Amino acid sequence: MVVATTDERDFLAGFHRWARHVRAHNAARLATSGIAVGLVLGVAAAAFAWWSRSHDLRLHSWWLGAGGLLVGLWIARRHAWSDQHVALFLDQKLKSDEAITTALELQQSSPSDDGPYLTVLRDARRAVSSAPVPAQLPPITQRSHLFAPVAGAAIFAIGLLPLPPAAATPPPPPGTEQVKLSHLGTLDDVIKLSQLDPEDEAQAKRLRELSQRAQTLRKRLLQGMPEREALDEIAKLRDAVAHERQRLGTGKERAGLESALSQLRKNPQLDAARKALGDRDMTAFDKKMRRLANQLEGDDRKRAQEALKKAAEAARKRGAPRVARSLDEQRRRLAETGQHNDRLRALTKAIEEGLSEEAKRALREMNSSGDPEAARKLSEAMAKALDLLTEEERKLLAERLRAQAKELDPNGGGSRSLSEEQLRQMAEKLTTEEGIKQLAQQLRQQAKQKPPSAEAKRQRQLGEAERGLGETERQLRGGSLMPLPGQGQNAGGRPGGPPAGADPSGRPGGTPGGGPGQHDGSTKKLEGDELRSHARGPLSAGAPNPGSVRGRTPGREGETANLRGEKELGRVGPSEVGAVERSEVPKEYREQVGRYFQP
Amino acid sequence: MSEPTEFEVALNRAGEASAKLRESIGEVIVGQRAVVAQTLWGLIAGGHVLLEGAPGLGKTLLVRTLAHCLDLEFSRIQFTPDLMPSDVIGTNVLVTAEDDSRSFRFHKGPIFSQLVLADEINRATPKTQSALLEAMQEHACTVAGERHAMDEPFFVLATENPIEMEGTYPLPEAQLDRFLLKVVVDGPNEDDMTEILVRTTGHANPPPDRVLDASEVLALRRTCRDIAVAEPVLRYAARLVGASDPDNPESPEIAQRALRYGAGVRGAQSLVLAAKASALLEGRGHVAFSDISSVATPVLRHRLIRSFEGEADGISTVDVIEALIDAVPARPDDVERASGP
Repeated sequence: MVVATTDERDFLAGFHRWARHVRAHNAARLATSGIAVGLVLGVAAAAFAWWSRSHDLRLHSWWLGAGGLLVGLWIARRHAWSDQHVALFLDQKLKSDEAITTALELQQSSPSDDGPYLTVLRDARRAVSSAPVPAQLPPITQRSHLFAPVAGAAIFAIGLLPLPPAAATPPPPPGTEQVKLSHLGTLDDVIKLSQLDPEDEAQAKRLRELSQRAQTLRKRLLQGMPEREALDEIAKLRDAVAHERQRLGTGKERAGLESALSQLRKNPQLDAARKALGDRDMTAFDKKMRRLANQLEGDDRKRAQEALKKAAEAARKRGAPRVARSLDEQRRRLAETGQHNDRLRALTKAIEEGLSEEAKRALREMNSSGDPEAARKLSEAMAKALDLLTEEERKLLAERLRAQAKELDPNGGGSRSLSEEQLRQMAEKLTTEEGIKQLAQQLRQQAKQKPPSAEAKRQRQLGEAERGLGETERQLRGGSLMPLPGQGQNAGGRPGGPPAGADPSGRPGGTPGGGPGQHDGSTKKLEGDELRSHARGPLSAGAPNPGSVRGRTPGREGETANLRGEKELGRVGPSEVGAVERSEVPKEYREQVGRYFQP
Repeated sequence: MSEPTEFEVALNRAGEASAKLRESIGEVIVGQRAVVAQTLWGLIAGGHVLLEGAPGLGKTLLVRTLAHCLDLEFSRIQFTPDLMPSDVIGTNVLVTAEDDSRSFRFHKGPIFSQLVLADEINRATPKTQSALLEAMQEHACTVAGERHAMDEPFFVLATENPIEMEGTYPLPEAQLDRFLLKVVVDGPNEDDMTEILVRTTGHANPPPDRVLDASEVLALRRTCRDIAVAEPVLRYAARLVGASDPDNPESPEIAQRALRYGAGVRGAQSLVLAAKASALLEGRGHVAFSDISSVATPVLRHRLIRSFEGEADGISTVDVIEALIDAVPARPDDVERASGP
């Protein structure tokens, strides 16, 4: 082993000095290349950003140059030249005929004294003894680096370019656009369902759930949500609310409802009410019964009460307690209202000439149609008339009532439901100032609109909720929906709601009823305060659809039918008669084909 | 200034000897410096040299002059078609002793010299050629089961005439491989021709002085073997030889098209040895890439076997070698790129 000589130390010192410079130049070249590549990519990024109208991204394209610098330095570090590479480079640059490479290799491989090591080492030392000259080092710049300033200028220029006009974006798929509503009072009725008096705990739970879902929907609509989801949720809520509204008499209660309807069918006066109950429309049922209460007198009312009682019993017996409760409640209201009306009628008969024209008209209307409004007007008119009675008139009125009492059958017969005693009590009241006031007060009290039944109230509020959902859906669709009954903008707040200052009990879009004008001779006011369409099915229930064939009317034995059928078969299209004979079926097979279609 | 090492002394001596040798040869041989240098590469590297050239270009004179300059035992064998192997190697002859006893004694042929001129080697039959080539490879020959070693240094210089192909026996490729170098002797230029005329049309010049003896030649050969070769240089030689293989996918297109066989391991060995000799004559203790590329042509030209397509297209092996030198980078790519043109 050769002891490290001065030549060796000088060579190694000189070589490493050169190597540092060479590697530094290489790193600088790679870093510059990285910057150039990064800036070229930056041009592409800036162009893309310009094209996509992203101004911020366009400005950040410069960072790709910095990224390229880092990548270049990383590559320079990772692929730094080994000593051998540096030696080969120096041998070529310094024209030392590979003396440096050979010396370095011999130095690292335990050279011997008598070998060529020292000779080569001296040659190599001489080669590396001079100080590094930049011209002899790897170039830092190369032709491709010209891209760096060009790319930088391009990025700058792109940064100054005005953004291109926005391309027409294709419309989003239907329903995916975000919708946002700022006013969502239409969902209030759904949210308030949790405060509704429930039929039972299960319904309370369902109503709370509906209310919760409506609150969530309102929250999301206020923040913005996809239209499709919103419409879907509204539709689900509407279905749920409609299902809840029509729940009476469904499922296990269906048989009970059917039994009750059968019982009611026995009394023709209850037909309208029976249909409403059959439709599970308790609001309509309530109204029909109210009219009946105003309309029916005496035995008719008793028969109606009896029919209601039997219907309730039948419903209870067949497992429909809710239907039974509704029927019982209607029976009770029928009796109460009937008694009040009897009292009213007795008074009107007694007062007779003292009645105003309006009261007479209301009496006629009440007797003919049972209109609750007419009954109310009549009650108010009677109360007003009582207030204005003079002493003599009161006495006269009392006398007449007593006379009516005398006319009554003492055994309780007749059509009147008021007893003699009740008439006498009324006559006694008329004799005192206080009694008259009490009677007038009772009449005014009765004149007030009776609250609907519990089931009708639930159905009504559920109906309100359903309409609110429909209104919300209409708002989402930009008003393209068919307007709901009674809808219209008004100052009262919610579309379709009562006008500002009007009676809040009025129906949406309608006046409280009656109207200010004269209605005689005009079209009768529509019953009910809302319009509902009822699917009645085909006009000829149970008949097959026109054009379809149920069977084949047999002709003579062994022959195919060619006669127009009877009953349902008679409804078939004319072309169906004798169709087999006119068909392309071979003659020998017609009998078989005809028999196949024979019912 | 530190003391010169033994190697440096030997290197200096080699440099001085080669300079003297060139000077002495130059007194006789006009021009042909490359030929002289390549011949010296063969001498120093310990290989044999095949000189090829037209008649009258001084091939034989060169060898004779070299024999004069070197104090070596010299013999010349003129190869003719009727030359027998025994005429080259020698033969056992029956010898009668004084007591009338008879025995065979080996009578050495002209091959048993230190410097052998095999003149017009391609005129002998392959049988005779192979006898010579065996001795060249083994530095010994076996006669009647007895091995007879050559005296060292043993150096064969063969000449052949590429023009007259009539009645010749071209050396097989396998045997050509035994020659370290194939030196092509070109005609002289005008100046050289003029000088030749001056020298050869007057009185005969005295023979040149002897410059080296056998021991000095052997010392030169030892020094040559000591020349250092860096691993990248060896790899370059290996890549160069590997690229001559037409089946190598990385070889240049001309090699794949014009060659049937490339140089083998012996070619790579010869390349490095010749490069060492070149470096030694340059006075360097190590081999450079330039040494490899400069010796590539004489070392490889007779080892590459052209394909039919190469011969038909007139692509010489020298063309291929030049293409190989151009195609095979000496240094790694990144170093080459950084070094610039």
